[in-house]
Amino acid sequence: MNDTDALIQQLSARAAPVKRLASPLRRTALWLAVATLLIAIVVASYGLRLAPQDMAMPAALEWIGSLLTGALAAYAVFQVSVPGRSPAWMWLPLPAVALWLGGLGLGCARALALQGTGAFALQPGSWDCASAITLISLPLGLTLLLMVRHAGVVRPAATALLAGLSAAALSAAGVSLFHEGESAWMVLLWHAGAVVALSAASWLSGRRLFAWIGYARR
Amino acid sequence: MAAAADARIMASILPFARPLPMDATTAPVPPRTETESETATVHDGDRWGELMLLAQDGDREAYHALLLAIAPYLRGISRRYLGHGEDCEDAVQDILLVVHGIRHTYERGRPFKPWLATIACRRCIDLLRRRTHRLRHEVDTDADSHVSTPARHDPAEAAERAHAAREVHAAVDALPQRQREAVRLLRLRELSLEEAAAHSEQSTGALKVACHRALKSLRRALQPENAKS
Repeated sequence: MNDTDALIQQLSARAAPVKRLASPLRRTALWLAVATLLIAIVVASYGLRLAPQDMAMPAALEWIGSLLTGALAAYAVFQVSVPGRSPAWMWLPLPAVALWLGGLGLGCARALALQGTGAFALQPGSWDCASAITLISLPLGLTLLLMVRHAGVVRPAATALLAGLSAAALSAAGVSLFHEGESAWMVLLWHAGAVVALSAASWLSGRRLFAWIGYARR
Repeated sequence: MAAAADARIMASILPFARPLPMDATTAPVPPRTETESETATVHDGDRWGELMLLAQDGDREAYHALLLAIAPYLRGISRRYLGHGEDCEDAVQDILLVVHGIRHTYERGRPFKPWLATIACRRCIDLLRRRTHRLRHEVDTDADSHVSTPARHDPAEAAERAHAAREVHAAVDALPQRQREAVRLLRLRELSLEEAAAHSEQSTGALKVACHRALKSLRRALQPENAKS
């Protein structure tokens, strides 16, 4: 008996029953429920603050875009992390990202038309929302990565990127609910900037993170 | 017993009937012709998928039959990436461990072969990447010539020792992962076989074999140049 046969013998002796993965849709719903709960707690602790212009067209479009980005990226995570499923799912959040950035761009253009270059003034302390997004994203992103620990041996970088994008986009939507009076430029800079930075950090550290929490040791 | 015999007869008549675990290990496999091989490949996948579903429910015989059946397929993939040799067999074992670790991710009703092939190919790419990293690391280690010089009173002896230590270090690093782990646990950390098995995914038997192979490779790698030829 060679050592591969010995290994097979040993592994089959350890074949305890396992719980199969639920469908990506169900897992997405579960994670979104967890994310909504966490974000609702944070929003409740700060108090819901929405200015009338936040519910008007470009801001509302931008908010829906970030929410959709979060939800679609989460669904993509549960697809690309499973071996044998198509990697093309990773492009799923792209239309939502376009909607989000489109809303932000529209908001910036409108502000520029109304206020001129003053629309791009930086308010002191406005980067608070970027740190709030980061703080909410960390537990959300880690929970999502733990739910797809097996992705470390499949598509670690793509999964980590999408998980970071999903967590950060949902956090950005949540932060918009209690940070009132931000100009579109501020949102573009701090919200979109934080989402891009968090997704990039997640993408870059994905392989290492999964090696740590996943099945494949390096 | 009669029911089992009936089921086995049905399984041999109907290609889509659920195979019994025993069939996979004991039934003689008829030789395949060239034209049959493609259909057979599809059926292999179906059969493996069925076995995996049984294995997920804790059926050890089905799992054993499945792992035995997929090993040659995995070997084929590993050879394509890593060539022949010990690295290839180490890759097969590595893939089997990963398959064991994430067997819950196989979903009922989905094709089995793409699931397995994704895992195998990704793992081989990871191993190739690690091999490249190892080679680069070896070069870096050679550049760091000032590391560990214990006998300060005799510079010549110290240099010689440092050189030997570096060589051993590089040779151990160059070993395949399972062998490297065996040497580190059994020889460098001086753990017992049982302790080492508890620290790793390998059984005591596999560790013993890996260590033996590793020492042979090390002896070959470290013997003086003139003795090699």
